[in-house]
Amino acid sequence: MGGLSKKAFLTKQLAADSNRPALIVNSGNLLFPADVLPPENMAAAKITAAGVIEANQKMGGVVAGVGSRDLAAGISFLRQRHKPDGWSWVSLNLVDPGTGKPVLAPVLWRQVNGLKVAVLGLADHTAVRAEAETQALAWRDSLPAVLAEVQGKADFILLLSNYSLPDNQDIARSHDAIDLILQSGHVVGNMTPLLVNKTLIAQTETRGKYLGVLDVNWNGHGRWQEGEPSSPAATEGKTSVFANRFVALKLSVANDPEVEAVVRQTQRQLDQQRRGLQ
Amino acid sequence: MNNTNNRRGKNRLQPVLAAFCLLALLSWGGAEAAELRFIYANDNLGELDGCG
Repeated sequence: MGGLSKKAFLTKQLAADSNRPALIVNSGNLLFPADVLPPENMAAAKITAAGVIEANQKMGGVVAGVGSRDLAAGISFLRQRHKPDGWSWVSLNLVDPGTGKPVLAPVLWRQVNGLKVAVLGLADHTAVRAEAETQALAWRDSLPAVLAEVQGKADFILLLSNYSLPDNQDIARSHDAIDLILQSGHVVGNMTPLLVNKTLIAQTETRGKYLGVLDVNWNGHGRWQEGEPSSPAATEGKTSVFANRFVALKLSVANDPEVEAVVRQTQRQLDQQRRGLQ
Repeated sequence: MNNTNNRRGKNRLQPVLAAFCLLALLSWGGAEAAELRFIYANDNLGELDGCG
């Protein structure tokens, strides 16, 4: 059975460490294989996408950034599945062309082990197709105002970015306040955390083949250092210490029964949809 | 006479103020310390059964 149920098994195990509470996030391009889908494939793609969201929610995921491919079925598909108490899509630069206001949540606030974490989202404005309902603003025009609003209130700022690595490096150099950028798109393969200014930038391999696990001993905004987050030196230190690893979703990994049921149900719906077409 | 007393009073207060500032700084820095874990992924691309 599918990769999502293996991902769920590993995610639940990794999130069960009571000494290190977890935030489970997806940085974008979660739902669809391309920016534009052939009309004949759209119905099946929407069924699959709905199953993917439900599975990610059941494994403890709470938030996703919006990649250009997530918009293949239109912004309304995401808005219908944006539930602030359950699953949130964050994007600060996808706006209503008429009002200029964000069409999704610009920021999600989560309390993790006593820290106020602000999760921001940016879609790559150069990759997003023009749509009547939404328009993507450049990060330089949209990010500063949101950052100014959150940086005094947040202990930790995480940006889920669909921009390329050079753009994310520019963002990190321009804005000291961002602690971590998790990116989507543009890179093939796992990318170990890269320190740019005061920001770590990381990304996993595509198609759900790996999970990224970033353990942090947070000692306040400022300096990062790679090391063992639970060591006495890290606890007493003046810098924030991180350790990152990528966990492969091998065939030998067990399946999570709850998410396996979601995958099976989704596959049944896909079969019914295909039979309806014949 | 009064000026001398004021000066003595200020001198007595200085160590107290310094200790208060130090404690405030220490507690401000320590309040943020915490361990946490980010579990992250990207570009799932609508895969139900992609595997490594």
